[in-house]
Amino acid sequence: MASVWIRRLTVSVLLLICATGLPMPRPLMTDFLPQPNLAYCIVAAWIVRRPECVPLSIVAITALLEETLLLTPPGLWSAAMVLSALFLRDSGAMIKRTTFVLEWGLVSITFLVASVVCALLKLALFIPSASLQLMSLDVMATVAAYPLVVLVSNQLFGVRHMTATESRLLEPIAR
Amino acid sequence: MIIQDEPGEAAVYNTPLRRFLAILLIALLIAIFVFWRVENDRAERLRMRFVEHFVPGLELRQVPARLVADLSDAMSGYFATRRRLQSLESEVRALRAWRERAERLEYENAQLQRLVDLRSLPRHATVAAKILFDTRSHSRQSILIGLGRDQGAKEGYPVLGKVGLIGRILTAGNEVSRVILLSDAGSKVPVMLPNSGVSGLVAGDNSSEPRFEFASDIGPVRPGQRVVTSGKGGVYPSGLLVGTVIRRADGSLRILPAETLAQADYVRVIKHQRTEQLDDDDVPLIVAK
Repeated sequence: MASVWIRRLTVSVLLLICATGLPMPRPLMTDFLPQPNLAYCIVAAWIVRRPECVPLSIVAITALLEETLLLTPPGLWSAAMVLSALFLRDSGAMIKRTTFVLEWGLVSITFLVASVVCALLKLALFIPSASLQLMSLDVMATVAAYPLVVLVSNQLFGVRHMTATESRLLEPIAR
Repeated sequence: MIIQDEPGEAAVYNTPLRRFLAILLIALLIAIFVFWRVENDRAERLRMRFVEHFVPGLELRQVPARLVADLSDAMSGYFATRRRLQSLESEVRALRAWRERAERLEYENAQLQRLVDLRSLPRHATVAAKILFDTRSHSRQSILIGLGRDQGAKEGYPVLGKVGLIGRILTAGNEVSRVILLSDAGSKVPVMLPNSGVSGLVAGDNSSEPRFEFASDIGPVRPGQRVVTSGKGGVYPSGLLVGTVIRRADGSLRILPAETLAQADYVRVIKHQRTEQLDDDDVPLIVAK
């Protein structure tokens, strides 16, 4: 199945772009402009639909790369990201049978919990982090960006929920 | 969550081996974080060495941002030139009066200094450095500059823009250094108001306007006053311009930095070693990473 590898490559490239920050003209950014976590949106949107296209190692490597380049504490958010992806992948089959609103809610709450846990850990370890105000702004921006990311990946890359036949066909690859 | 009629999906990822690998991956990431926390200096050195290999790619990253900035510059410049000219002319008129006053004061100052035999402020040797990579985000306010140990950069050297203080070098790599900005949540700069003698701290919180905290009472502080480094703690030499005091809508006092980095390409690094140790009565200077 070549298409799985093409999709894996697509996800890797998208996440790599997010990690090196190409879409964000950061010099123009002030604290008034919220910064949605697009990498998280992409991982979430793909992993609930096409779990076989989002290997956790890719998620970990790109998140770690972003943290290293953006000079934030390395490893912490990457671990949160992989854990969230793991959780969303497990919930994928369940989400699939419900509405998009529920999926949106689950993805948002997962992000919120991951952000809060990271912020609390940083607080406990005396690592300076974003203020509550900026953090909530970023969480809201990420929540708002999620449907757009889903729409774009749906239209541009054809990321849709698997049918039963497809998942049966893909089983040997995913294993 | 295993759904009976579709054996693919979740069931596939719940194999013990996959679980184990995923947990191993998370453990590895947490181990990296713990290493960074415990061996901070060594981890930051490693990071700089890694980042140095990425620098050519990073400069490419700045291209779209620069283009947008240039374009908006050109647009606003076209429309604003006339208005700007008029305001500049009136400003020049006002400044001429100031200049006369400044010359008079300079003369007076020189006279007085001679009288008390005051050593003038030391002039600092500065080195220009290119801004390589703007890594400002809501969780970290720092930039990478193209000046490393090989060019004489050291940790703790203050960094200036065209007119005022930007921050200090936090980690110096061989070719690049990481500068922590005034606005970073880990940055605290001892400052004073030049005329009133009020001293305090400019404490960043990752927003573009750092907090202004001071030990003495609020009395003489007014929005619009200029704030300079006091030299306490010894990291920053005294007399460097930091910014002006502003008051936010919620009543808190903030500092509008003199340097915004919006259009800056180069910074100046002052070769200034930490001079004195903390005294008990000094404002505490927290050198957080």
